[in-house]
Amino acid sequence: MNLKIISLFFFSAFLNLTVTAQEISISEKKVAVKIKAYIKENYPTATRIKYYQEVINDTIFIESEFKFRGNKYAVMFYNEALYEVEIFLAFKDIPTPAQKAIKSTLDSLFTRHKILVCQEVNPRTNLLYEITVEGTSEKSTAFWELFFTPSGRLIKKTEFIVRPIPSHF
Amino acid sequence: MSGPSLHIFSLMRYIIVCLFLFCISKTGYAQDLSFYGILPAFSLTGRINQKVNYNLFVSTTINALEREINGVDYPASNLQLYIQPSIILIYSPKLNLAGSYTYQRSNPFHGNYVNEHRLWQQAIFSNALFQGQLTNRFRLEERFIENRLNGEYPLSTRFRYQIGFNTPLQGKKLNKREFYFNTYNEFYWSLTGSKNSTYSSNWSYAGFGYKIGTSDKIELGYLLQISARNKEKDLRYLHLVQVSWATNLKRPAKKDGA
Repeated sequence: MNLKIISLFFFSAFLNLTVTAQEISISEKKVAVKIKAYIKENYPTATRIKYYQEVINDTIFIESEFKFRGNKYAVMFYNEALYEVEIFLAFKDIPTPAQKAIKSTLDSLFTRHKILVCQEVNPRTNLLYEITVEGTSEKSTAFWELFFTPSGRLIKKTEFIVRPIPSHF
Repeated sequence: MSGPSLHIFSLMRYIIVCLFLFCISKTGYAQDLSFYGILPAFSLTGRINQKVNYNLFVSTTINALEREINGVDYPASNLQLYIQPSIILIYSPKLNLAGSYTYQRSNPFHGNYVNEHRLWQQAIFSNALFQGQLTNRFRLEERFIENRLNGEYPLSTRFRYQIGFNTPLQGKKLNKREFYFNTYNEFYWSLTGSKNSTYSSNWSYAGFGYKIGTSDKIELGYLLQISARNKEKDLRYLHLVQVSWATNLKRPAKKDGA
């Protein structure tokens, strides 16, 4: 893996620099054999496998999305090597100590909150929990992405904009 | 992705038209009318705060071809002007609530124009389907349609249910300079007040759009409006080419709250 590229990506993501991203779906035929072999070896019973080419700040990544053992996975590759793994899971599936710490942090940040999406990021290397919540604080409600360490310590909190569902006439 | 969705849409449209015809079918000679036109539309959406957005939707319906049917001349003309400002509450990413005052003027540039003031409330649910978004919209309308004979605006109510599907065609997210597909069918039920039929209209739409930049989309599609045009439940088919432009004033932005 190119450490320079990875460092730059993390730096931009975590320090909130402008990240431009564009993704398109690609056929399995266009995906490197090495990537397909990795998926087959590590996720042998994966179903509904789809591939995407994602360009982030002029760097090309290949992302694979699939279902494995009841969970949705998103695995990203750079230069045919594994770059990032995301697993969508239920909040109750997070280990209890981390779950308690995360809940306590959410209670302190918001007067009211609802967990919308819960993800494990890089579970085998540098595990983080990415939690998407709708949170109310000081009479205003917004949508947030929060990153926690395996022990449940908050390391990043980002507000994101939800656009209305398109509806005309 | 577009293959199965187009197939589903075709099948859905066929079933809906058959159902509609069956529901309001009658014995005797049909006096159904067909017209062909164009519907330009413009939509502007902006943010008031994190959960509240506003939208202004403006459209006009033009009957593009002059027709003579059974000795009656139907000139090419502007059939309708529609101005719809609304407030949208993002209750959750999957549920939006909205309310509006809408002004509609039929035959806007003729002496026989009819004004309508309308209030409506709606709930729209969104769920992921394949790589797209399935939407279910429920709208209740309180309509005040001008009676040109006495100048009054009697109240009538209508309920609308729309099922829609939209999907990016070049990936899982719609990015700029990418195409998408959009389709819906909407059922109209007149509840109270003057009406030709309880199941009074049905709109079917399918179109392809293109996201120009981060905030703008253009869309071109075919819209079929079927409506009961009299108490005998004769139908009016309006075949329209819809051209729309949708823009967002507030660009999506992320801000650090840590």
